[in-house]
Amino acid sequence: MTTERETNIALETQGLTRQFGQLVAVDEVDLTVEKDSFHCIIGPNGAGKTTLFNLLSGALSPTSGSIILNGRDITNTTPEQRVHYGLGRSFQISDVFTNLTVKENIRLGIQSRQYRDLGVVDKLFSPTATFEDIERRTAEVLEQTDLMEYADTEASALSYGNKRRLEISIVLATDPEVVLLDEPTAGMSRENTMATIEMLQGILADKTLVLVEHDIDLVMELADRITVLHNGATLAVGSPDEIADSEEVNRVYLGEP
Amino acid sequence: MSLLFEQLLNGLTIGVVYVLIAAGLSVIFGVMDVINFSHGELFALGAYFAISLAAPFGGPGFWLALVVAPLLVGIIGAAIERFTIRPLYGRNPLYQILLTFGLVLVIADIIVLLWGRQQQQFSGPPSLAGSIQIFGFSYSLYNLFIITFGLALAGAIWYGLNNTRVGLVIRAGAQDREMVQNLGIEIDRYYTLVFGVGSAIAAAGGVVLGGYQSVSPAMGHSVIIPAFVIVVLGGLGSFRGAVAGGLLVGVIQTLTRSYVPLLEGLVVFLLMIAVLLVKPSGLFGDPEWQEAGGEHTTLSTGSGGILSKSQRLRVGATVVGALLVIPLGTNVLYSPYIVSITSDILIWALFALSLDLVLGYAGLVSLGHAMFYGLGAYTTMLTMIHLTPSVLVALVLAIIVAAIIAWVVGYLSIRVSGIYFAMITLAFAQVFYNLVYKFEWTGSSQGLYGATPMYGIAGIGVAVGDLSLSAGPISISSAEVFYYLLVVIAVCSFLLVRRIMVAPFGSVLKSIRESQKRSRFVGYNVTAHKRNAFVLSGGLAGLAGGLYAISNGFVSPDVLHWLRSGELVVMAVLGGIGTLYGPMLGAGVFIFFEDLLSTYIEQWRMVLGTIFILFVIYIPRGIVSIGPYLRDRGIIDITEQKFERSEIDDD
Amino acid sequence: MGSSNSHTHLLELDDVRSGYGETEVLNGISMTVDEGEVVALIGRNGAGKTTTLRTIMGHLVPTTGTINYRGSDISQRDVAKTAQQGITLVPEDRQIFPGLSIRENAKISEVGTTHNEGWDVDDALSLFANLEGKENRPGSALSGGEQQMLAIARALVSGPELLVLDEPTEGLAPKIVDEVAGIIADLKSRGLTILLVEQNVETAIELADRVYVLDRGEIVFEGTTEEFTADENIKESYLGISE
Repeated sequence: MTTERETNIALETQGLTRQFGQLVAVDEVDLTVEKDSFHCIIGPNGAGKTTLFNLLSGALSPTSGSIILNGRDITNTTPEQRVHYGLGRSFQISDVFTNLTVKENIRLGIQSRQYRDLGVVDKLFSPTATFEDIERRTAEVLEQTDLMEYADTEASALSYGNKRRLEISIVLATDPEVVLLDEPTAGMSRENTMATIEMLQGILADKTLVLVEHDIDLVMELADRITVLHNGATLAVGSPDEIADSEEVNRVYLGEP
Repeated sequence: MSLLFEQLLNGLTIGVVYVLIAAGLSVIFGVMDVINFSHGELFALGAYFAISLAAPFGGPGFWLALVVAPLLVGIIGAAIERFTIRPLYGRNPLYQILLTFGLVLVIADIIVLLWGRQQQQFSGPPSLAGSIQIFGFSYSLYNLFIITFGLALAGAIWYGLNNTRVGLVIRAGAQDREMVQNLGIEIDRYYTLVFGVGSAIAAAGGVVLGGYQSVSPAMGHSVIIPAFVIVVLGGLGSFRGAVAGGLLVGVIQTLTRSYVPLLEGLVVFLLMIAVLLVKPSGLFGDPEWQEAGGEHTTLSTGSGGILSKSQRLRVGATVVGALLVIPLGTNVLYSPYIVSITSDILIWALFALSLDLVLGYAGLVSLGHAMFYGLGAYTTMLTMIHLTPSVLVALVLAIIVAAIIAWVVGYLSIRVSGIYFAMITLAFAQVFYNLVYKFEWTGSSQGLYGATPMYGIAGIGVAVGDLSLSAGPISISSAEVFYYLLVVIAVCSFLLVRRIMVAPFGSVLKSIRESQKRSRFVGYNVTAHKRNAFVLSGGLAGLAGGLYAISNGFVSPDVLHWLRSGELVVMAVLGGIGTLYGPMLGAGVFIFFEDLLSTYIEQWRMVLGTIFILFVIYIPRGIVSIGPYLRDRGIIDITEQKFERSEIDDD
Repeated sequence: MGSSNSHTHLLELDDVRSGYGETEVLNGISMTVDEGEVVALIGRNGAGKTTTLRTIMGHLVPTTGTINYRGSDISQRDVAKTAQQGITLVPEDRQIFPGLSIRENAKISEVGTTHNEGWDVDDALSLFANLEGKENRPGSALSGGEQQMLAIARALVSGPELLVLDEPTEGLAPKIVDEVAGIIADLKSRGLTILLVEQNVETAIELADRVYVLDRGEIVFEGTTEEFTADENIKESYLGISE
């Protein structure tokens, strides 16, 4: 029973807490993200969404509590170690390697997971083009993400939409099992939002996704499960229907009297 | 007891002068984030104006100078801000550092041009001559005047900052520039004022110190480094910190000179390093300053040349070919001097290549690279004198020693960011600079010489000075043999570093250059990569230093001077950092012009500094960016050849 | 008040597009504010409210469109010039100078006023009972609510003709929200023109004469407060409020 349950959980936090001075930004959050699910975290401004995201990605360390990725405690690991354990994250504003080619952007992602296994001499002196395995996988990802035609284009020359695509493709290239997404459609028009979401779901089809978002409509459409944060603590957890029906959520988050 | 008291007063005298320099420096940084290297020269300018103003009027001339000299320097400072620094706001702070470094070259040479190189004196006012009895012993009245005047001036500024409208805006501007503008205040106008007043206060320090010590052209750049230490110690941007730090450093310096001479010149730098590592914001600093100098606009020229791969290959081959045939023309087309100057260029080019590894690829602004160069030079010389004359062994040791020190310095300092990293490397370099003066075995101020370098190993081989070759009509002198060795080492080093840059390690460095944060979240250990790049860079700089020692036959503390680190950064930026060949090209152009100008005019630094200032303002991406710059404006037209496959894989 | 003719609005945005780099946040918005009005700009997080204000102030230059203030285009002006014209921003995160005392925080506004007479520092501070007796405390020692009050007082000292409030009640305890809302109502009754950006719809409709709803960079509703209150559809689809 327990083993079955454990194998079914991709990411989990236990009593995760982060304080800034007197302020408790994230307060004893227990999050359970099932494998292959689309899990959304929502909450009003100041609810602690960004802090929670930063705790999960490793940008911040928690005051107390723990984070477990696929049964492994990653609480005290660095962001780069978390990538190696299978955790990827995207950035809200496209943060790609601007002056490198699209191919090189992707290749860096692929190379990352194999980097520790390379010998010192290989790392320092073998041209990257000689690593056939990495090259082949880079080509696969370029193909899979429809970026092949831009392989030799500098990232800075991409259109806005393709830059976002590259942004997500770099995450995919690191071969994550769980991907953290931070408001990927913030500031976009409705059309762009839907296009971006489709692109996301296409590229990251078989991944466990954790989305931090303020747009409720979007979340209601996409999520398998929703966690609602309020004042840093978990207010409610459930399916979109359950959340829509929750009186507490309606009262606190949706502005009902 | 009375001796200690006298030493304390002496320390306070110097300390007060430091306060006057550091106060402006710190407030300028606080309000506009500019690290002003030329502040020391403005201080010196104050002293020199005083010489000219005081002399014609005799005794009372001093009082005239004390008023007029700061005013004049204040106007110059305001003009510097308005016309040179203003165009750079919003760019990476490195450009401001570089610009003010160019100003150092210019102002220092203007001083020599107007007042000559020799030390000069001017006397304080007769009314302050002699001494006064305090607590039962006599002390110089003039020194007491300096202390009183300096503290009164500092107090007046403190009052102005805290009790006037202008002071209010300056303090607010240092805390939140954007909000000040939101309130309808044009903060830019205050920048000119702050810069002018800061310069004037430093000049006042120069005037009062000039009446106490002799005045020399070097006083500016010997005072600026302790002034930086004070500002960093006290906390960047903190007026209180500058006052406390200035007095502290003045007293510590004076006391160590008297009581622990071994530590003189070291203790303040060690103190600064320790403070930075424990509390990077300084003793009185606001932690928010730590963010200063983070990721701004990218520095690197990166790719974007106008030549295609095959064109570049051809240019490279031509350069190497030219280097190879240069010695063949000596005594026929030109004097052997050309070989010697090209040797210098090759050594500097290697040194510049080493800097580009960290500056252009890891985004680390090292202002202390002369430390590794100097360590390499000293290690080589010491090895050849005491251990073995083998050039090979000496150079290998030079690389190893420089790399080890680079590892230690990198380990301690890479955790601090931006401006602080620059300052901490500067401090480490000063520690080594001052250390070589301390010991007999490092040659103290005399330097080291008298080695007979040999090619070969374990005593088998030929002395470098003896190896000349001749085959039929072609004869190659010993200097030319060494020259060919330099060409081989420089070309191999370039190819090796370029190879590293296309290998996985280099690809990670490039990703760090583009975005540290992203690189981290793609899964790379950014700190470890920066540190390793720093070690590689240190080793390469050590090699350059070692070659210099062999070529020159003599090393002196000068190889460790901070001006050398500064010139290196100038060369790298002049050429175009992040390209590997750019900084090497920059070194060539710099040395060539230095040589050319110095044969015709004594004030070559002034000309070079001016050219450099213009480069920083108008062509910040260096010589290698001129091509694309002209092409983008349709001034030249280079038809790019279709992508040609070449055997050599390239970036 | 000025002798504005009936066709000239105090502030008028016409088809303004703006954003950060390539990311266009405002997709062509038009709106007006007339003298003596309180206009609320509401919308969800990320809708473009703060971007609108940053564009009005001159932190961002619109890619197309014009911003007219008293009939002249100010879209190319820098921030300080905009503020000198009488548009004063109380920013979302208040931006109190942490190292200045409360009094100094208010007093600094006197420096920038070249346009007209602002409030007296004492008068402005006396509006807020919470700030009483704390004049010499540093800005960093204030609570969120006190910071908001000080930010409003500071804006008043600069003598605004158009007071721009960016989410003045965000993150405040309910009691403090009421207090701040009371002050805004008081300023309204004194005839001050206010552009109020709010996420808190209740507060906004309590204070405003007219309402604009912004969603994903576009104005999706424009009307009087009564029209807004009556329009269930708008509230549900863009603000996530269902009755």
